[in-house]
Amino acid sequence: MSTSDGRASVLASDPGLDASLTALFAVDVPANVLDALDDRIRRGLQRWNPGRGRLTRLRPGRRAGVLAILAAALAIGGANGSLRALYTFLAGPFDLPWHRGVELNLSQTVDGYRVTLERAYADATRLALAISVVDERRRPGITQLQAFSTVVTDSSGEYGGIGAVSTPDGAFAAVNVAWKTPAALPLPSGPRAFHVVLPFIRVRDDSTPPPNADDVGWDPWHPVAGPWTFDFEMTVDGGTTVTPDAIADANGIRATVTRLIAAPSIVRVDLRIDGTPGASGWNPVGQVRHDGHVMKFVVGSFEPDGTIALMTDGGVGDPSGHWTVTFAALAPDDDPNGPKPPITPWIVEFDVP
Amino acid sequence: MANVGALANELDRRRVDRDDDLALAARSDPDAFGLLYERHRLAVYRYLRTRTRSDDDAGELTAIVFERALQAIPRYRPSGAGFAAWLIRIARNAAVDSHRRAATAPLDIDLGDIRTAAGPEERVLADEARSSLLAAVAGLPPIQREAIVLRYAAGLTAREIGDVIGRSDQATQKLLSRALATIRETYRVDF
Repeated sequence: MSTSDGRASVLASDPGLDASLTALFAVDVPANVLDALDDRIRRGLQRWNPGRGRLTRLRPGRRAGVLAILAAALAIGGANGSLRALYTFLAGPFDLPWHRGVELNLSQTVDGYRVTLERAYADATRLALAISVVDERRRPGITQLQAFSTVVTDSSGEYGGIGAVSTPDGAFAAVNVAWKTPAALPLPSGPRAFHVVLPFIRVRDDSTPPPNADDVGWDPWHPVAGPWTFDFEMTVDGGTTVTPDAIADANGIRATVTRLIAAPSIVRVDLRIDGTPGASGWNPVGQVRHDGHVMKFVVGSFEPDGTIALMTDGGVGDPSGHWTVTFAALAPDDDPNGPKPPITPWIVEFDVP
Repeated sequence: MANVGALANELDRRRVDRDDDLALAARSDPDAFGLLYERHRLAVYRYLRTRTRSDDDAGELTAIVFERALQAIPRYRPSGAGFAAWLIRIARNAAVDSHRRAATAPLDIDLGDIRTAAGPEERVLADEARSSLLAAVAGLPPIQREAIVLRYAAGLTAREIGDVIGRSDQATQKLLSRALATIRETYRVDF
C-alpha cells in the first residue's frame, strides 16, 4: 500500500496493525504502583477466611495424634528413603488409598515436577487419592514439596474437600493423600470416570523468608503452577445409606441423626444440633456402635447447610442391625471463651433392616 | 499445515481450563487465588489504565477488582466465557462505579501520559505513529472502541469480549472486524 506522495505506508497491513494495537496498550505497571498493589493483595489474602463448609475439623486430641503420626512418618522416610513405604506407614484413615485402593500409576511432568497418581479408592462417602510429587531436576535450594490443590470432578460435578496430608521424603519428593467428598452423596457402586487436576503444587525453598513473629501471614510455601491433569476410571465400592431422623434430647439440646452412610472404609453420620447456646460451631465428641463393634469419629466437617458430618476410622460391610450413635459432649469449635454446654451424653438409636 | 485458528482455539480453551481449575481451588485456597492474581493483574491493569487518568488510579482500581474477585470467588462457576472474562466484567463495573463516584464521564481511552521504551530519535516516529493510532481508536463508535480495548489491552478473545459486552460470538467478531477496518482506513504513518 502507498500513500498519495508515493511513500510506503507502514503498519497498514493486518499483522502490522495487530502488532501496533498490541504495542499501543502494552503499558507496564510502574514499580511503585505494582509494589503497592502486590502488598495490598497479599494483605487481603492473609486476612481472607474462606468458607467454612470445606474445612476439615479434627477433635483436638486427634489432631495431636495426626501430628505425631506425621512426625514419625517423616523420620521413617528420611531413614530408608523409600517413597512408597511412607504410604504404608500412614495410619488410621490415612492409609486407605494404599491398602484398599487400586493402583493407577499415572504420571505427568510439568517443569520437571513429576506428579503421580499412585492409587485411588472410592466408596459411597468419599474419594481418596495417593499422590506423590518428585522434583526430577533436584533443584538446589528446594527443601520440601506438597501437592494439596486437588480438584476432582465427575459426571455429578465438583467434589468438595475433606482434607489432605503430605509427608516429605527428603528434599525432592513427597507423598500426599487427599480425601474428597463427592458432589452428590452417596456415590453409587460401580465403574465411574474421574477427572483430577492439580492446578499447582507448593514448594518450600531457600527463598522462604525466616519466620517473623510480627507477620501473622508468614507462609514458607510458594505455589508452582501446573496443571497436572489425570483422567481415570475405577470401580466405586459403594455403601448403604439410611435416613433415620433419629433424635436424642438432653438439657435442652437436640441431636438429630439425619443420615448415616455405612461404607466399607468409613461410616459417615450427618448430625444436626439444635438449641446450642453461644458458639457458632460445635465439635461433637463421640462414637458409633454397630452390633457391638465400636468406631470413633475422627474427622468431621461443617456443611454449608449447618449439618455436621462426622466420619469414623473404620467401616462396615453389612450395615443391617442395631446402631447406636453416642455423643459424650459438644466441644466449642471456634469460641473457646463462649458459653459451654453441659457434658451430657446424647444417645441416638435405630435399626437398619 | 497446522490449522492456526483451531490451534488458537485450543490454546484459549486450555487457558480457560487452567484458570477454572485454579478458580475452583481458590474457593478455599489463598495460594490458588494468588496465582490467578499473578496471571491476570497486568491485563486488568492495562484495561483499567485505558479508563483512568493516572497510573495510581489504575493501580487503585486494579486492587479493588481483585478484592472484589476474592469476595466473589466462591460464587464463580466454571462455565461460560471463563475466568478472564469474569474478572474483566468486575473491572468494567469497578471503572463505572469509580466514574459515578467522581461524577465525571467515563474515560474511554486515556493513554496520553503512557511512557514508551524507545530512544529520543525513535520516539519521534513512535510518538507520531502512536498518536495516529490512538486517534483512530478514539474515533471509533463507543462499542467498537470498547471491543478493541478489551481485545488489545485486556487480551480477551472474541468469545470473552462477547461475554463482557453482552454480545454473541458472531456479533463480536463482526464488531471487531468493523472496528479494525475503520482503523485501517484512517490510520496512516508515512515515511
